[in-house]
Amino acid sequence: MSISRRSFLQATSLGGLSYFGSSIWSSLFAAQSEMSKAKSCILIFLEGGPSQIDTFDPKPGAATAGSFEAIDTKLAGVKFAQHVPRLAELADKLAIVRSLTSMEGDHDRAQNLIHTGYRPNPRLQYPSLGSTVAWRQSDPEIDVPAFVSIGRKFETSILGPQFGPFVIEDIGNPAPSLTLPEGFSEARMKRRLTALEGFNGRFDKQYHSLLGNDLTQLTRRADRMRNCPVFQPYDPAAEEPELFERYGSGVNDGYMARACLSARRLVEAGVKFVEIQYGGWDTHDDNFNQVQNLSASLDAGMSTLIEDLQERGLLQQTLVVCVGEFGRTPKINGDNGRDHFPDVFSALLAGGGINVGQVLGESSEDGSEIKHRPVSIPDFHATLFTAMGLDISKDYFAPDGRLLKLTESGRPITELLAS
Amino acid sequence: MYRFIRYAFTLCLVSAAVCEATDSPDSISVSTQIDRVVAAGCKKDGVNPLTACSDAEFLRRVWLDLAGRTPPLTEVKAVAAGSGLNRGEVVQRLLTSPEFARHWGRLWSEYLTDRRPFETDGYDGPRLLQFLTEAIRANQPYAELVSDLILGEGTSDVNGSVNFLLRFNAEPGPLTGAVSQKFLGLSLQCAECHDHPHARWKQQDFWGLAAHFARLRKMTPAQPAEGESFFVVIERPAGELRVEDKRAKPDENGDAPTRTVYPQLPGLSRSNASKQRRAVLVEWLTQPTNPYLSRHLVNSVWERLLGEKLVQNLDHWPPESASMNCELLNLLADDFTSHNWNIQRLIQTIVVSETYQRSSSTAEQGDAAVDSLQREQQLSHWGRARIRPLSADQLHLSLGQAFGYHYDENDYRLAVATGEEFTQDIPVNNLGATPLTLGRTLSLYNSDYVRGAVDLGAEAAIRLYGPTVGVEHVERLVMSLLSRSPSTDELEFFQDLGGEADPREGLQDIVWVLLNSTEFITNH
Repeated sequence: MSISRRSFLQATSLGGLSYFGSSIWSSLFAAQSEMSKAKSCILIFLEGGPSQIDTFDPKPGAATAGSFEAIDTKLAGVKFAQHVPRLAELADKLAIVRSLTSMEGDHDRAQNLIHTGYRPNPRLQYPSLGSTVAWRQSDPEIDVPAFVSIGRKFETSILGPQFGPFVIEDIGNPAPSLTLPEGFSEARMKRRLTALEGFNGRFDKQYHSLLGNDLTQLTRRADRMRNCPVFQPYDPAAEEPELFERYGSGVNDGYMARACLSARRLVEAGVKFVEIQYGGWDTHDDNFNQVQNLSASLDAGMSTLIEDLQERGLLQQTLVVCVGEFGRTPKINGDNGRDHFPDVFSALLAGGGINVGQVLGESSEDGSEIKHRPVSIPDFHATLFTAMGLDISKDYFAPDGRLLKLTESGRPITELLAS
Repeated sequence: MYRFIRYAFTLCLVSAAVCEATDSPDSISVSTQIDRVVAAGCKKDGVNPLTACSDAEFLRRVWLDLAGRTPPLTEVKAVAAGSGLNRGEVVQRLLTSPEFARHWGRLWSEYLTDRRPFETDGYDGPRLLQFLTEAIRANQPYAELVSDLILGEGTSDVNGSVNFLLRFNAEPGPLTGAVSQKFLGLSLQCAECHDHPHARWKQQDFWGLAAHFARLRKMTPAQPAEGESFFVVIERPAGELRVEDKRAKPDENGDAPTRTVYPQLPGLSRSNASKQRRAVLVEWLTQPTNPYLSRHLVNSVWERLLGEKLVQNLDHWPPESASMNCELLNLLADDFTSHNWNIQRLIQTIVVSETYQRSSSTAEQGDAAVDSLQREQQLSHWGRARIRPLSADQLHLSLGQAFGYHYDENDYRLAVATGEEFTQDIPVNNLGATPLTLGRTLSLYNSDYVRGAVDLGAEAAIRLYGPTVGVEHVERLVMSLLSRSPSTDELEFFQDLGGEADPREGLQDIVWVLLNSTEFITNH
């Protein structure tokens, strides 16, 4: 409550919006053209809570600066920490948010909040960003699932399991069950499916079961996934060796290279929302060595992802988001680590729907508090939804009939949205 | 407002509940009383409940609910041959079977930890499972079981119950959230951070309860022997819970000062300081006048067996107006506490009722003209059995029942039986954790695991009846998967399907269709 009012007042005093009053919000969104909306989204989730000071919000000269140096970026006067040089080169294609603030300092609760935009409620699992997008925007005619998660599992939300993600555990072979055994003909699979639908039809008629219908839809979906080359086994080292190397195949274990390349292929195939789980950022000890390693993979993977999307003409329609559940303390603890810090942290946005080439918000000299333009998690969600063309002012009804707003209290950050 | 709520709470502790069930003579069984309450509710709202399900349907339903798998072929055959089924006797037998203890032990352990029983991350999941399975087998009174879980002390690999405390790090905050949610059905954890103006539960209630766990300590051995991993929980003789005092002025470092919170239970004055703190908490939880412990357990068991809770939560208990569901909850809870918290008796009472044994299909009733609104009403009035998807465990055990297992080297059934430490979660790894997802569907569609099961089923039929698909093959496969005999139509349908290709492939196709069918992957 206090956050959104404060942020609104700050926006009005700086942006000169006060003249219009609050009704200006809705007309501003309507003015954003359809062309500038993203059609799909890739979320790189830095699980554990990355250190903002050692990545995208360095504090050179401050007592809290740590051991990394700050380097120049493509944006005049904007610096990153030294281990993300390629992202620094791409800063003109990024919107850098330095004033995110969370209400939760515990991993589970904060991860729930950053994914749902709602404070965790033990009785109601709100949908995560990907589930909401799948619910509002999936196209039943498309063979690929709307929401794919690389490596992250989700609780079933109030939208029901059908809007949950298809979870990829082995990127090289994303859906092992799709490969028919050798000598197994298409005709035979077709015969099985026809017989199954016939047999289920009897059951559905006798039992009047809606569940039967859901299950039939799921089986058809599973079968149609066999038409999608993107779910077949894929070896980027053989297919696209140079590009794969640019993604960082040789950096650390190569996971981020595989994950980011796979995300691009999934979006290209029509997936609406891809989430990449990239863990290990909970650096309570040995922060600097760990962040240096983690940054190397993130830097190669995310920067190549942005370039690759652009080269394929997909960047304009793909929203790319990089964020963790919270930040880390400016204060360095006795184990040379930094601890949980929900008060101030950073996020990167790029691609479709976003007004890039800017820094939004500011933290204080030592990084201990927000100096300017706080962005609450609900505001962040409202911004992402708006960038994807979802109407946050509308009332929706979940499949169980419950009224569900995309965000309860969030207001989009207009400066971040492309016009 | 606040004072009023506090008053209301004290009141409801004293007089168990407002909307009490009408007095019934002892001679009428509680099962019959349930059926009467449901019949009255249906009549009042003009709902026509379905009649009883068939013996075959009942046998399958109750085996899946109580033992976690489909019934064995011999019992299915007996029912199919027309020998009448003594339903009460089946229930009695299942409740004393080792499979019942294993299935409900697994359900309990997942419910209490929110995890699969294979976890060893900070606590010993398999050991907790073993403890719960043993408690169910021995039919330990529920109040005793709860007190064992809360009073746990000692080493995680020796004392099974201590692993409940360890799952929540033996810390006051997480434990208070878990105890209120899992034992009382209350969302006290919202009050951990803030007072909500409309909520009954206040921060004082949360932290006052949490202070009963203030003296717990989790200890990790400094140098455990190679390959050994265990934790220890102790209760220290002194120490108080300190929480951030948000109203006080921050000190010079900007940190909020802390204040001491003393143990105090909701609606009561400060707890007796001379007793062990957790013992005071357990005494409060398990006294018969506490309406929550018994009602939450009844509500949860009812949900397991009928697919839906009686009431959404107990935060606003007792409700302002009487209702059928509230009457059912009181009826069962009163019987439960007056019979020494007997879980087996509770389950038996529910499953021998007509309400549990309702049909889930309209076709058997002879009138197909039931529209969707009427169906919804039948469901919400317990006038129609709900169709529920099977869990990964139920699917795995049912396939094992039908065909045996092909994952011999890590036989899940064996591991459960011997209480050996689990290294792999075969059901979930192969079938996915959640029903009704693309992941689960893909596994059933063509995973290695399901292909293995399909092969086993086809081979078994060939061994028994030879390679050419005939009536016996279809009969056996339908009986072992669907737990009923096939209709004449179906015999023809599957023989046609199986006759189209070479016989082995044909049989595989039949097994595949049955295994993927809605009828097999649901309880109905």
